[in-house]
Amino acid sequence: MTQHLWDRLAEAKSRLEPVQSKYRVLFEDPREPDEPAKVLVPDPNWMACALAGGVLPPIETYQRDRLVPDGQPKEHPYAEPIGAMTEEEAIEYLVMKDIDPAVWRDYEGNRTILKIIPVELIPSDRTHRNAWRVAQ
Amino acid sequence: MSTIQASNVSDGTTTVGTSYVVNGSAKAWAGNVNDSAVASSSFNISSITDTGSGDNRLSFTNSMSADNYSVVHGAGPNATAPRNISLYDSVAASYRLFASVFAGSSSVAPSNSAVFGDLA
Repeated sequence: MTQHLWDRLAEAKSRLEPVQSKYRVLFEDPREPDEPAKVLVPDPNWMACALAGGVLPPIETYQRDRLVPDGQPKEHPYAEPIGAMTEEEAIEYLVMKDIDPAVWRDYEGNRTILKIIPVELIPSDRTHRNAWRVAQ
Repeated sequence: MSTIQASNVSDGTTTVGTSYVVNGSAKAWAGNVNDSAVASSSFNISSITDTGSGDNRLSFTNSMSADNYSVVHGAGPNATAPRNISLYDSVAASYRLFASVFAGSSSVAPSNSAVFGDLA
């Protein structure tokens, strides 16, 4: 029987060193055009699990679970874990898991609204943080 | 990994059902999350999204069963003045914390949060 995802995460945290990603995901939400650009930061413990393999479920399980109403059984905690990913594959997985499909799948406009960039390109000066946009 | 199956845990005097231990454990937590969406420590968090100044969305690796879970939250230890940390827009897969900036200050307090409730 497959161990529950939460138990696998607890076991992995005791075994794996956190991994700081060298990437960030910069995106805008087309449903909120007045909002500033958002910056997704991968969690170091999650990244360690992604690179090690044997912990995280297939991304398709999260996508199917988006359609499951609250309180109903979800698939991703009980799915067989997948193998190790590269850091680039892990970032793409995270885009599909934690960013709404309206951004990465359904958007048909001309603006570039999602970029995967090295962490060094995120400005350290946050004085005008709420005016950030994705450069075209 | 070995598994101990038991209905109760006892120290010889007091006995408590293991369901209390399981149900009472934090299902996720994130410590000292700064304005750039970086946590100093965490569990069951897949990513933190910096959605604006003082505004972060924390996503679960293992979702909660519904959006009716409890989040205990507060300003982090590096805050040099009292700060408000507000919880909003929580769904089964993530929750959002907003750290307010008081007049006369440009810094945003780091946040701490722990999540209690039923896992998916």
